[in-house]
Amino acid sequence: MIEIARRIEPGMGAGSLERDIAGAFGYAVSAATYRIIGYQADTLRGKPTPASYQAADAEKQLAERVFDALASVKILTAQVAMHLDREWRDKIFQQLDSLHAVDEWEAGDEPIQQASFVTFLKAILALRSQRRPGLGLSQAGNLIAAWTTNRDRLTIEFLPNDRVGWVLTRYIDDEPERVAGQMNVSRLTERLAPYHPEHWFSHEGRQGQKSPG
Amino acid sequence: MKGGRGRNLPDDDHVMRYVPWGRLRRDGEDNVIGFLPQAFRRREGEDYLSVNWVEYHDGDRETQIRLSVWAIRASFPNGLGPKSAFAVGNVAKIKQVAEGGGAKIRITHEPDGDVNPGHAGLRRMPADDLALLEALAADAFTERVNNVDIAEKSPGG
Repeated sequence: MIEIARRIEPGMGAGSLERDIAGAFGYAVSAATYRIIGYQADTLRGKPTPASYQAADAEKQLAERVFDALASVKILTAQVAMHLDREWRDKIFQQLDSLHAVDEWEAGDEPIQQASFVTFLKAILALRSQRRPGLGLSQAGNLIAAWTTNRDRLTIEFLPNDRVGWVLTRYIDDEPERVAGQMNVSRLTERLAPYHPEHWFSHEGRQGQKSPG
Repeated sequence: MKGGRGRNLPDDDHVMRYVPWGRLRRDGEDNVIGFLPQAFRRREGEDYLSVNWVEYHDGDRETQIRLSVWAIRASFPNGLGPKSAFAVGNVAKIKQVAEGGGAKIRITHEPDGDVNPGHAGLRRMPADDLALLEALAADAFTERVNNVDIAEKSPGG
């Protein structure tokens, strides 16, 4: 382990490694991802007792899988960067890092799947929402986007192979009307149109977010 | 001991479900505003949706909530994320909302030994009905308890 650490960066701490990665990836890697890298470096440098090998190995594997998954989706984003507002892109990266925080990780969950993120990018470019969604992650690693205006909710789960699962709740006269569907991402805009998606996507809806509980 | 394995929980009682950070509903600034429908999706191979029976524990409401959280924490040996939360809903309301979505569910006591004797389950839940999951998230589990707001159990407690 010590030999590996030396090969990475002789005599330097995790901060130096983080700076090197920052130089190599630029905007593709954010502060939270550096922390994961630092965590990996610390794991490599550590001298675990035999009893802690298994737990340390599992944690290292998780950190590596999360790092790989995040790096791959950020590289994908870079390929369509010209179509995304920079603030949007940076914020999405922050949200993705937050979703993958190791201390929040649920055992058995999968990190974000590249195929899901491809579908997400296609949808975001097609929907042209002014408001950024809140992001979530399914157990299988599918990205979830949520828009909320007052009690009205729109949730889209991005599946592999250009599929989306979506569900919306709108309250009319205090009665919830609920619609759900699953389809190819190319039909999402058309399918949502009858439900006035600007209710969620325009800035006018921003003031309507409400926190239950 | 209250309840008994497989018995229906009383309609007036409440159940609590652990929701990890990734399944909390947030706005675009990462502020938590509720639960995603996927927070109520069963994992593959699970017979029922896992919850905890709040009124299994004696005491006032605050005590019941705290003891339920402690029991859930005890059943996760690796600990729960500090930003995770717990969704709380009324038994009758959950069944009513589910029935409105076409699922006649049962909410039964499923004790997990001494670790979590108040463990319970939502049975007969469809595996992946997004509209039903949304109904549970929006209309049934209407109370949120943040993990960080519940004190750690003292070593002797």
